Amino acid sequence: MEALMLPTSSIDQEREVQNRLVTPQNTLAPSVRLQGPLEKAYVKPIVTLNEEDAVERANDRAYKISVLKLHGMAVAEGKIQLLKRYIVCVFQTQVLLMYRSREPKAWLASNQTAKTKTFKRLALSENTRETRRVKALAVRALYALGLDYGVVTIGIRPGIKAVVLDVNPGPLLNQEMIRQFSDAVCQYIRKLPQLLTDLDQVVLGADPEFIMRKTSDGKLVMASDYFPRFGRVGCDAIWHGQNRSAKPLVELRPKPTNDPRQLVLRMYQGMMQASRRIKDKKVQWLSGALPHPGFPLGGHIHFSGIPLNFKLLRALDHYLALPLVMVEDPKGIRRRPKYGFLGDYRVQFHGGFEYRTLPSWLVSPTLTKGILSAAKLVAAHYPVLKGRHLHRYTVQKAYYEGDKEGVRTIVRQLSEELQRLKSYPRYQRDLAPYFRMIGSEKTWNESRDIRSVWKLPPYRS
Amino acid sequence: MSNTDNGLQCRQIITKAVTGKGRKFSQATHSIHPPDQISSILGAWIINHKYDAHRAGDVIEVTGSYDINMWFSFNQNTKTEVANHTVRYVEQVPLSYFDSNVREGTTEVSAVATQPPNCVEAAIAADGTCLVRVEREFYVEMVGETKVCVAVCPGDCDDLDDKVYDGSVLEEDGEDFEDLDPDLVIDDLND
Repeated sequence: MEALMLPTSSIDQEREVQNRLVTPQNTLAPSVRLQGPLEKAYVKPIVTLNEEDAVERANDRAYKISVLKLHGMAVAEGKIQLLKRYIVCVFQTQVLLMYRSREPKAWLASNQTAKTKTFKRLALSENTRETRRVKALAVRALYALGLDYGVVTIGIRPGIKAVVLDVNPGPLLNQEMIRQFSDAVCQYIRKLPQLLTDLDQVVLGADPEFIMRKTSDGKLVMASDYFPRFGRVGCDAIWHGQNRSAKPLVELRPKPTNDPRQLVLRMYQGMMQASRRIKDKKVQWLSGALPHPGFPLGGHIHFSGIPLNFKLLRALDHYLALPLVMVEDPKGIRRRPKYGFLGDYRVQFHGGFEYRTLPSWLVSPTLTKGILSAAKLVAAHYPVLKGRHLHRYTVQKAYYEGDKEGVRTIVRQLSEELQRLKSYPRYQRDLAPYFRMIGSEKTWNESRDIRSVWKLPPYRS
Repeated sequence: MSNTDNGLQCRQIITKAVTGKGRKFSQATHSIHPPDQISSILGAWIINHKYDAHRAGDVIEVTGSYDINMWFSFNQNTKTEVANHTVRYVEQVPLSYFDSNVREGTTEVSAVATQPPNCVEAAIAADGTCLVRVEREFYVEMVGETKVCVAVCPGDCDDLDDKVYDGSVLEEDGEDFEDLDPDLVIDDLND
């Protein structure tokens, strides 16, 4: 299969783009290569939408099923009962169009085999639990297969369980789809020149979590007993047991800034403040991925000032998530794939987005300082970064299984690549120790009180 | 000038607000005694759904009823008929959000069937009864009177234009860090 060559100069003629994107069989061109002045400046994946090898692999049904399952998604296998189907047109993180099969008014014995269904277009503003879930699952399925656009079919099983039925990078099109897909491609092309940004334009925020546990009986201490729901140090919305007001997760919410070091300092100040409320050694502060069963922790990083797209998410997966595998406590592997799946993001009301794949790196100051500086470098330079190892199933599997040997060489290459960036020296002070730690055989210990490594009272000398 | 005209003040106003809400999805299997000589079930659907909500302690109870229509064949599939069966139910929906700052005695509850009862499967069980599986989902809301504290400005509303309300004063400050050289502290952390 050959990618369609699309000159970026053609975006001024909308019709022209539409005509090119549609094949003579009235299907969407499964792969597009953008030709223009930026071809030389950026790495190939940035100027390619749906890379050819990803499309080829996605056409193999068995491969598709195993990848989706690896990434933690429910997939339809064999004969299953479906109540409804959704057809979702997706371009990277955007859902362009959504159709839903008409809900049957009655259960009919004869209907169980009938495949022909009529579909109705949904307003994208329809914001029910089910449609939100369907949209998120569609984007996640497309991402997991290494694609940029396509049509995802989702089924709803009894018990409102959503399952992926299919992902098709070259679907049959109707007029609405042609218009939406070509608009999305044009928009992507228009944004291309701004993808490479100035370092100072990237604003970072974070909300890493930790939990508090009594050393005596190993029971959790409720964060909500000490900290407000909202605040620089607050408790997360997750509740514990029957009582929804008992919230065990503590979350640091430093004010966003374009200086990663400033962000670290604000988190340190937050922890200082918190350590005044909980002083004794009888309560441990724990961080990492899964220090206490049932409470997976996240180290979400917020970005604003830059556009969100799959290419950026893939870069973050490579340059942030993979290296952490090298130093993670093996106890934390079970956080995945329900949490910590690749490319997990959430759009924020402030116009930015948060990258949610990482565990709580608060477990070590060196990691905290390094990961935020690395995040900044990656966000500003990803159009020139070459890492694309996660296209391979074996690498994805190594990530989900926490197989350090499986990613060691890759992580070394990726680290070296970041060190060659021209703005690396600016963050060298924090990045050099971080890379040393990643490259060492050391792993973090999720059972250790993080106040000792952050030198907070009562551990402060 | 009365003392209420002086400076920025607060006032408690009483307003109606959503003080509780919850959602519950559930599946129910109804067993229907089949007519004699039933051969197979051809279809099943639900009509006449009626429901009402009231508060029962910490939960909202939705009580309601619907009719299950079952289309079946009998006499070795030579004849068909529709049987009608009324079902009553009580669904307890817990409140996932509850604000205790509500004036007791002023609350009203309401429920919406976000998924009206829908038949997803019907089958004849080994013992000969007909089992009809139904899915339904409710969203409940409790509305009550509550006090809200609002800032009141002196004089006309126009006066507010030249004042900037700075929310930051409510945030706890990271006090007394002046004595620390931040960079030194952060550099010192190398574990």
